[in-house]
Amino acid sequence: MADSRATGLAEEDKRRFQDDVPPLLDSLYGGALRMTRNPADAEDLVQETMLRAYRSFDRFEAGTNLKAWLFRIMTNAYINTYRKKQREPQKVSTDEVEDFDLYQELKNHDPQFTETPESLVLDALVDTDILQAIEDLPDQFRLAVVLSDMEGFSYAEMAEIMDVPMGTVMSRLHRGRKALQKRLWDIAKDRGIVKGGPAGDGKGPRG
Amino acid sequence: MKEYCRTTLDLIYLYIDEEILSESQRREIRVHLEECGPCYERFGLQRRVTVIVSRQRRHSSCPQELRTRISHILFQS
Repeated sequence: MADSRATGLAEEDKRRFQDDVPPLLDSLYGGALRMTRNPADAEDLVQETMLRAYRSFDRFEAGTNLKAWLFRIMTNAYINTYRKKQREPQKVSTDEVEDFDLYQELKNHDPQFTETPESLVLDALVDTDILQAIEDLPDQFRLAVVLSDMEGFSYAEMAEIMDVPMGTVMSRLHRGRKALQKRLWDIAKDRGIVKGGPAGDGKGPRG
Repeated sequence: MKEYCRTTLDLIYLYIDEEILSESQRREIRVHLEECGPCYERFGLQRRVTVIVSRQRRHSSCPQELRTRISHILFQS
């Protein structure tokens, strides 16, 4: 009783929250895990997001995108609270990303590849490699890639969630994907999937 | 690189993401991808990477304990 009065939420809103929000918790937790990069912080972030969302649920417009609304709250909470205490990984320098071209690297590595470039490298990478590559991305790039490619948000929704113009969304996503490909390539080299020599030395592995 | 290739590759993410492009732009890109082997390979590679990333969603179910805790905090105090 006291609780529902404290939040000021009408019974109908409360019921709607209970029905509609829990099915989105997997997405939210997944997003939180990719943002914070550790399960304990991800749990805290999701819990904080739920508290904030519940408190302001009367301001959510029924019929609009609930998942985007929740991700916007979570992104704000992350930026305000968790990001401050996180260290930025320096595995991907943003300067060298622009010039990276995974297609060209694959071509240089094995000029034979034509129809299935992915079979060479991408199939050899396991999920932990992919997740590691995502984790290694700088914050804003990682967020853009996660929102788009993992959660399936549109550019317009991402602009809302990240509170930036659509052009910024597109540039972060573009550079984030490039950085991800560079990181995947580096991981493939570390793992010995491709030879670690300087790119483009012209020596294909199959002679 | 030919002009057509450059234009296509500049817009390839918009094409993959099904964003912003007009129907005629999409058609031009589609036609070019059918005709140009290297552009088609690049397109295939970019799309493949986004699919691989999207598959990682399977590693993110919310722990039951967290669901219970949230429900308890919000609804049962």
